[in-house]
Formats: sequence, structure tokens, C-alpha cells
Amino acid sequence: MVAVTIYLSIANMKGGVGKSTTAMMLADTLSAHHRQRVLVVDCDAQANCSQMILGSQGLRAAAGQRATLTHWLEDIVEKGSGDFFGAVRPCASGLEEIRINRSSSGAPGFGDVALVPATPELRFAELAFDHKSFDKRDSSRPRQQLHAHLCQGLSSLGSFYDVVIFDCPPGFTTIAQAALIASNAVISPINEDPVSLWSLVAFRDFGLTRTLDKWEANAHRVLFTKVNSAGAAAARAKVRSDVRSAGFNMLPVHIRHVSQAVKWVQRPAADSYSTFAEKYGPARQEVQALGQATMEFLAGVNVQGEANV
Amino acid sequence: MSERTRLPPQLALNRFLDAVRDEAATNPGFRGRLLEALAIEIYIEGEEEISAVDPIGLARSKSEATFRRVYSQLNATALRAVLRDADLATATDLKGQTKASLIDMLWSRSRSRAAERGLE
Repeated sequence: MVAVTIYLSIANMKGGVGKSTTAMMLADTLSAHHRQRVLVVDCDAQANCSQMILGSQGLRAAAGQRATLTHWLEDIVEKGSGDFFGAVRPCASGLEEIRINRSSSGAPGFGDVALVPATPELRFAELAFDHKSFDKRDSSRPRQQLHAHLCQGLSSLGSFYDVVIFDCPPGFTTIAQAALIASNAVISPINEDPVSLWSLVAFRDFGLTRTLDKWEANAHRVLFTKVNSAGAAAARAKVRSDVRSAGFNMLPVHIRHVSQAVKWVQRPAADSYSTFAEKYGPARQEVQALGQATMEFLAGVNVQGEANV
Repeated sequence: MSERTRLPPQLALNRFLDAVRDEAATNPGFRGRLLEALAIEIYIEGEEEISAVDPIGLARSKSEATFRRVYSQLNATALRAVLRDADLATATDLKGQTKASLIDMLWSRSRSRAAERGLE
């Protein structure tokens, strides 16, 4: 059982490996099967996670109310501070089980999912922040300053959430760095191909270790996603073997490639709901196993020692 | 088709139009696209014709009254199929809905999707 807020980054430098889908899956299974109150912070200007959780209409509504990470960061650039608390969209889960539980008082069987959404303009707000905080004598200044703002924002939430999930963008942007500094643990989704592993090694060696001085094997897990068991078995086995040889720990579960992924991209409407089984179809047991494996992983993370919020 | 054939212009056009007509007769989706491109008032009736129409395009181009008149010809099972095929509803959303509430859902979500796509 998680006792205090845990900050978990879903991060890897390579795009298209399933980071946002993993973030959404984890939010769903941790809330529905482990009673966790989960906050997802979408740090990615692609806004995939926001669209999957809120739907396009819900995301537009949040943007209309200036309740997004983009607006928080724009306000920091323009006014020196932003309202992180006001950017949180509570009760954002699209799971029918959680909606029913929410409407029936006195049945605290599940947690819920809240979201700080992102919009495509986030990247430009981040660039403005980078330019404003640039210091040629100290290249770490933008990430340190953004980390301080992020910590201030997260502190405004108190200890209401059990798990905060940062859905990091591809690459190694300032927001991603701030989120990684704040995190107790990291899960890196990768695909079974050699370039995914190459990217993962660069992420660890150049990013977490050299740039942030933060990598620790026990606080980092690799998750294979979009696994297609047809063909190229030897090549895929070699990637897994190479991941182990490179010193990474893997979660004891993988997520298969399923056609449902196409539908995850868009919630049909802001008031649309799916059961867990309907949403994840043939991958539902794997998603549930991912939740269990993640809870076991997080239970072994040194929360007090590693937290940087 | 590897050899080029010399044809009189009218015969070439007839062959082309025959191919379009044959495809439109057997492919409801293609027929729907042709009718939409014509941009004239078409009377749509029958489950097959209505099911082939894109509800989002119809919500954009027709009045609410026309939209409801068209879809009121379908039974609840066919309306559920239209909503699911257009990714406008999940199975959970469709559970326990009456024909009237399905038409309401189809109208409101088709309008919202059209707005999302900038088709308003």
C-alpha cells in the first residue's frame, strides 16, 4: 500500500513507444483495481494523454477555462507564478466502474483519476520559459527554475493524491527534466527493436545520469509495449537480452499490440464511458498485471529518500 | 490493361460512367460520397441508405429536423450500429438507451464531432 504521494515519470526519449497510452493505462488500473487517487500531469505538447482521458471536447473546455499546464506555464512566464491547483481537472476518469462508484456515496471501492491537461501550445510556452530563464553561465538554470515552480504547484495539492504520473514528452525537454527531478521512480516504455534500446541507453546515460545525476537502477523499470508476438522472435529476444545486459530492470509484464489502441486515441465524447473490459479488450489482463507490477515496484522505491518535491 | 486502346470519345466516357454507376450501386459508402458531392437535396430512406450516410456530415449540412427525420426511420439496433461505426459511442454509452435517446445522442455527438473537425 502506498502511504505517501509517489511521483512517477513515464519517460523515454523515443517517440511512439507508448508513453501516453501507458500513463493512461496505469491511471485506470491503479485507480480501479488498487484504490489509488491518481493525478496525471500531461507534460507532452502532443496532448495525446489529455485527449484520451478528457476527449477532444473536454480538452477544449479545459483550454477555454485556461485550466491546463500550458496556461500555468504561460502565467509563470508572464506574471512570475501560475495556478497549478486550478489546472487540475478532477474526476476525469472515463471508466464506467469509477463513475458508478463516484455516484454511489459510501462505497469507497475505487480511487479516481484527475488530470492536468496539456495543449499543443505547451511547447511554445516552454520555449518562452527557456529563453527567459537562460543563463549562459549555468545551463541547468531553466530546469532548476521550472522544477521549483512544479514543486510549488504540486505542494498546493497537499497529499490528496496517492500517485502523480508525469506523462513526459519524447526528447529531453525542460518540462521533462523538471518532472524527472521531481520523481521517485521512472517507467520507460520501449518497443522490441534495437533503436528503442539505443534511445533508452542514451536516456539513462546522457539524460538521467550525466545531466540530472539521478539514475538509480532500483527506481527505474522498463516496460515492453506494442509487443507483436508474430515473427522475428530471435531479434526480439535479443533486444530483451540486451536490455538486461545493459543493466536495466524490466517490469514482469508486457503490453501486446492490440487494435483497441486505435480507439484509445479518442474518447467518443466528454460524457462517454467504457468499462475496463470494454476499453482494453484482449489486453485487459495485461493492463491489470501492469498495475499490480507497478504497485510492487513503487512499494520498493525509497519514497522519503528519493522524493524531490 | 497493358495495351493502350484507341476509343471514340463518347465510348470512353460511357465506359467510365458505367464503372462509376456500377460501383455506386454496390458500394453504399461510395454512393454516399457522390451524393454529398452533388450538394443537392436527396431524399434518403431505407436502412441501407441511411446507414451508409456519414452522420457527422449530415449533422453539418442539414437542419436538426431533417437529421431527426432521417434517423427516426431506423430502429434502435440500427441506430446503435450507426453510433458505434462512427466512433460516437461506446457499448457502455449505448446500454439501456431508448430509440429517442439514441437519436438525441447521435445528433448532439455528431454536431460536437463536426465542430471538433472545424466543419461548422
